[in-house]
Amino acid sequence: MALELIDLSVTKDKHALFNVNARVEPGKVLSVLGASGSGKSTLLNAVTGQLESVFTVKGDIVLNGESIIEVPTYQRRVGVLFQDALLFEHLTVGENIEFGFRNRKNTQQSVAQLLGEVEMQDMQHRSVSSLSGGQQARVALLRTMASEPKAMLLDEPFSKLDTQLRAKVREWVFSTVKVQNIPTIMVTHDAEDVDAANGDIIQL
Amino acid sequence: MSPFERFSHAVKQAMIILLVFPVLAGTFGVILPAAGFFPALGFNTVDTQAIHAFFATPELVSIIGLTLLTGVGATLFSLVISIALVAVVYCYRPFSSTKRLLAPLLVLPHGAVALALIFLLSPTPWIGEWFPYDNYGVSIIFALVIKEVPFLFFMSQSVLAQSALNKQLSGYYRTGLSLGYTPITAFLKLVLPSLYQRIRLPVFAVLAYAISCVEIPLVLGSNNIPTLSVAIVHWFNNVDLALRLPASVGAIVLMLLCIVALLLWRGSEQIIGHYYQRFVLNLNRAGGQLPLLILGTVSLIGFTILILALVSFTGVLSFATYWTSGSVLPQGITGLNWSVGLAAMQTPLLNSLILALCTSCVAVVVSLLALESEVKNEVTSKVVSRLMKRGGSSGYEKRFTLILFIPLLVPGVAFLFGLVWLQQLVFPERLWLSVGLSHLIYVLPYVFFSLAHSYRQIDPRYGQMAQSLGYSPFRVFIHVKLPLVFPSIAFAFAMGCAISLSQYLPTLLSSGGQIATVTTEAIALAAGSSKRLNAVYVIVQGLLPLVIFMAAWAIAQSFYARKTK
Repeated sequence: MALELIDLSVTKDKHALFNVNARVEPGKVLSVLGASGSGKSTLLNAVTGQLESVFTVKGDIVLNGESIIEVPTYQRRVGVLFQDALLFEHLTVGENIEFGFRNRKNTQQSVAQLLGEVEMQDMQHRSVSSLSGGQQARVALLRTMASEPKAMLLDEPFSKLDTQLRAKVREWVFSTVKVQNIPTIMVTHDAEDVDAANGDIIQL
Repeated sequence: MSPFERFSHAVKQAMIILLVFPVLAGTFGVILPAAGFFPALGFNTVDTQAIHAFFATPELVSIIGLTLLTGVGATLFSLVISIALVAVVYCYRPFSSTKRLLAPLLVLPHGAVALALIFLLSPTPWIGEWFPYDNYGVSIIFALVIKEVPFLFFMSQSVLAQSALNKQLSGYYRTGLSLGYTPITAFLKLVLPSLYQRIRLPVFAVLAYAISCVEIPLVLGSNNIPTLSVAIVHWFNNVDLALRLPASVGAIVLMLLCIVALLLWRGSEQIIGHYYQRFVLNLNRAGGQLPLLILGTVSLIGFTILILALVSFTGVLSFATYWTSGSVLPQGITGLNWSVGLAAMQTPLLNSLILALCTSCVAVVVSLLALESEVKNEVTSKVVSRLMKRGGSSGYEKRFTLILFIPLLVPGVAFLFGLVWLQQLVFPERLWLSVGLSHLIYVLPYVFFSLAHSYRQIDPRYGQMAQSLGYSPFRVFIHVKLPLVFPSIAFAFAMGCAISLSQYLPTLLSSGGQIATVTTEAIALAAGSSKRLNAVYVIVQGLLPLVIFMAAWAIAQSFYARKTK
């Protein structure tokens, strides 16, 4: 279940932003570095299929042996963790995770079990606004994992956490994608993130 | 606090009084006649005769039923269609040009839409048999939907344009897509719950308006069973002045109907909200995608065809010599309707423009000063900065928004008659002032909403920086803030003009029929014999706000062009 970017280039106004060739093996994290405006977020949007119409994308994105470049975003099964947790405020903690599941089988039990694994078993029915930054990050990851993604994109997901929490959440995210064998691309500015990822690096 | 700061505070308080007092006073003004007390007509004792007379009205149950059916039906259809349109525009970029298509309908007066529909549908025998003038209010609902869908659509767009909220909701939406939800399903489950909370008051305003609207049922309604608002207007305008007493009872009943409908709507929200939460969590990745996509697309095509048909048909009709029922084209073309119409229209046109320009000027100045007072109010500025960060609503914001919506939530028919009575008591000779005030009650909320967003977005550091350079608060307001929001001022001014130009009942009642505007004349002509002459009025009625909006846009563009040279 590898993720391949084959000659993937994005242009805007006939100006090429980047050209990438990369293969991310299951459970591995590819780090993407670059200055502001170098196209890091554009690369992630190209992989999720959410590029704005001003951009033109060429090349191919292959996930698990199948090209997904023409597949709509919602069918690509590429999970994203953003800088902000983006928990839905009209849903409780448990319901946020439930929203990610693909079928209804034992969702309540599964939610409780998942929350238990991250020491948040008592918070299933709480409002998301009552959670700390670290708790929000954990719920966001649980929600993404519940949707059974085949690849994962991390868009500077630890940048808003304080130093102590950042190390803890980072370790927890990386170990999760490793255990689940999910190929992951991470955009970051932080050298510690890159070291902890312990994978290939692309400089845009 | 500088004199200017004190002045802006005073203006804000005056604005609140201006919005609340006439509604309260007007309501009080119908309560006394409803209780049988109307000394001017010789009714000097309080009794229940007026109430008995009102409830003895033939077909009263049908009248009330029709009023509720058209009001609730039109609001429901308008809401569903506008949600479908907002969803397709939000999820699919090619649809975003829809905004330009619906904009002309937003500024078109209700009366003009109703009249144009009459022109379009009357010559078609197979439609004409049941539509318009049907007993079930289908044509009324249809016309209201045409007008209210653009209103709700643009209110939604302005909510979604708020930067903090937009950022949050687009994050939700993108997360939904990455979790495998189809675009419209992600919109329905993640964007709509937040959006609906913020357009609830506009929805309530639509409901209150649809129940109490006069122009549309007056033009399109059945001759057998009127809506309650139309019946009240007939009673008030009857030569038998004693009918004003049951009319006052009717006005209070209409207000109660509005309250009941609003409470029922709110109750239904709770029930639907419960089932909606189930829909959100049913894990169906494509729930609602296809039906809403179809509804949105069909509505878009329908609105396009309808706008083209209304414009072209009314245009041709205004140049027609004679047009027999069932014929595709008129027998000949003439400019006579226009020369007669324009000659007769000079005074109403001038009156319309004077009222629109004056009330909009006052509304823009009052709104700007009221917004400026927020900046100086420490509590409010904290609230505003919190709003900018979170995109949410505070208690203060909710209360003030509610005050702004009061004239839109309380039926005009219910308080305008009482207000006129009071106006005649206080300043009987000041006809223009009375009409201007009645217009201002409706113009002010729209102008304030048009300005509020951009004014509140002004970075407070601009003011701090200018003051540190030695500028007084008044000079900061004039030289720094107003230029920053100039395009919004131009747009708000045009919006104020459009609202003033569309006012029928406030003009008619406050002036006692002595000040004719294009709108009052167009509605009055609907009962006359010449549809072709009427078409000229409808076109002018529709063109006036459009021309003002285009002028506002051109002025805003030239302002920017000058600044960027």
